[in-house]
Amino acid sequence: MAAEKGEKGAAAKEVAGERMVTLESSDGEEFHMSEAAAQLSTLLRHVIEGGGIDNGIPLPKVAARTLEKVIMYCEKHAKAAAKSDSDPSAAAGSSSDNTAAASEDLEKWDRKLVNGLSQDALFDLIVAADYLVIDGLLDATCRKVADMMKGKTPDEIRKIFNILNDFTKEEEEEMRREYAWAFDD
Amino acid sequence: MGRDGMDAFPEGVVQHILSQVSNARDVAACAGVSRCWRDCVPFLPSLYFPRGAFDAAGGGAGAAADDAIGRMVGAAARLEELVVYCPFSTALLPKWLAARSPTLRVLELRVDSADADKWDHLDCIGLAAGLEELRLWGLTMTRAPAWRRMERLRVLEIVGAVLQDTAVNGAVAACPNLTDLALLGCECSGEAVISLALLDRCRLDFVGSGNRSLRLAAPRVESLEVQGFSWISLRGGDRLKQLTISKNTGSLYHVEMGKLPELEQLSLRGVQWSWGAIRSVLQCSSEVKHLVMKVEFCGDFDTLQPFPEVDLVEFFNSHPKLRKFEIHGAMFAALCQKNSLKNLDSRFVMPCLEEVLVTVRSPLNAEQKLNTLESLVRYSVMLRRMVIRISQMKNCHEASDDFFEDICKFMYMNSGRVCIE
Repeated sequence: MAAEKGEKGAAAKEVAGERMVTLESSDGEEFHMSEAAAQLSTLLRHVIEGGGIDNGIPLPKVAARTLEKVIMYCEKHAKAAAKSDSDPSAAAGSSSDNTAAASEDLEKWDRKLVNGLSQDALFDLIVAADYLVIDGLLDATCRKVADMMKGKTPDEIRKIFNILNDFTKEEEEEMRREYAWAFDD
Repeated sequence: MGRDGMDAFPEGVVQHILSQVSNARDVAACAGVSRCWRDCVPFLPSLYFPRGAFDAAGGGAGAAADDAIGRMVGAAARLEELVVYCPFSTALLPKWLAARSPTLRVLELRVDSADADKWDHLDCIGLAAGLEELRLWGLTMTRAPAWRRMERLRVLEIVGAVLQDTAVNGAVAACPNLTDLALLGCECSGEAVISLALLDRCRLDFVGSGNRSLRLAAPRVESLEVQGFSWISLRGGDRLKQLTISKNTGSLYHVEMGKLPELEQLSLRGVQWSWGAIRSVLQCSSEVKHLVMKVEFCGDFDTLQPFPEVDLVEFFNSHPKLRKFEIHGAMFAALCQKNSLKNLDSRFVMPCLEEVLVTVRSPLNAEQKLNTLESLVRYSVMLRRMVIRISQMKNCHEASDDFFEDICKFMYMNSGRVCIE
């Protein structure tokens, strides 16, 4: 038993006593996350593989409240992936209903996560997901922002997201002409 | 955070956000937000023009649509998906598709039926050689389309179309690698001949008067639903898991197929089937787990006939894996014991039967029907639930009341497992 525990592969699959990594947010707070969850971030995966993480990984670009959400997302998705891997009926292919339901639940969870965020928190999470290279989280957060833009005029979009209108008068005229059909002026 | 907000986004993130926007109106709005956003528009992967997109332009809607679609499709250098539900001039389609053929994977068009005589322009769909999914609504096809081999096409759906059978056969033949085929609400008569080596899922719903026959060769098909054919030949049911055969009007008089060893769900529906066709399908479906039988009449010709008697014991012995069983009206009435239960081997069981749904329409042969219900309960060791639906009794005299009373008694004796709807 002890010899097995020493092996890298066996250790990674253990539920109890699984390997953890320590992360440090920009404001100096320490967080722990399982190595399995950390693998969802391409950046963290490379850092871990490169070794030298004994004293924790500093993330000067990610604040504590954002890092918390990142870890929540990664742990949730890592658990879901582990569950579907170990499901014996998944191999038989007859539980396609189960896998469809499970991924639907996961999508619902993702939506709930992003819906509960303020706009600032959402933007911070997008920047973090991009920096840490977590594809699923980047997709979910960007989709939320895209949803917020639907049905709005350019003015309304600028207001919501605080974006500067940097068109010249001529450029604005051109846009107006080109997209006249889209706006009931 | 103030003004920072989105300005703090690294390069590519705005692009990522905008690539989730496909509604043409939203794309137009985004293009008008700032220079950075405008510059992202050419990289959008997907454009969707909804039905009323150009309604605001009133009488000039047609020209406005053609102009806008042309510009936006022209600008979207990496376009992968194009969906157009609003009216447009099919004459412009060749130009749009030629420009985007290198990247276009998904195309969905609602074709104005008023443009029916100009449908020749749909020949240009063949230009989009990389297409993987094609959906067409409301077209009229009087001849096979001049598409070259659409090697990459996996999904073909045509809805609400008027088709010549030669058109159907030609269109499908041009797409040899289809995995999903759906021709729904299509008016067509004649003979459909379909042969697809990779077909997984197939739904054919043909409407209108006239006789139709179907010859389908699909060795890998797993799910098949057909409606509207009076003559069916299926080759390659080895992997078939779900099969529904319906004929909503007229009659179905011939079905030929091989054994269906993987079949789990089978549904027979219609007004009139010949007994030969029903027997043929049931004989090939010995492994079925979930069976629905809802055919109203039998008969080989135009006269509607009742069903011949079906021996209950023989029926369940030839379909031992039945778990869910649904049977309606006249077909239920045909299930009887034919004396076989009198000399029954005490080992007879319906080993897997868990759920039964029965529709009873008339009190004729009440005793026989009750016997059948009792047998179903007695011999199915796993039965969890039996639902008896009593639709309006045709003869409203005391025989109906007596029958209803008997069924209620039956229900109370088996309370928990039997219920009436």
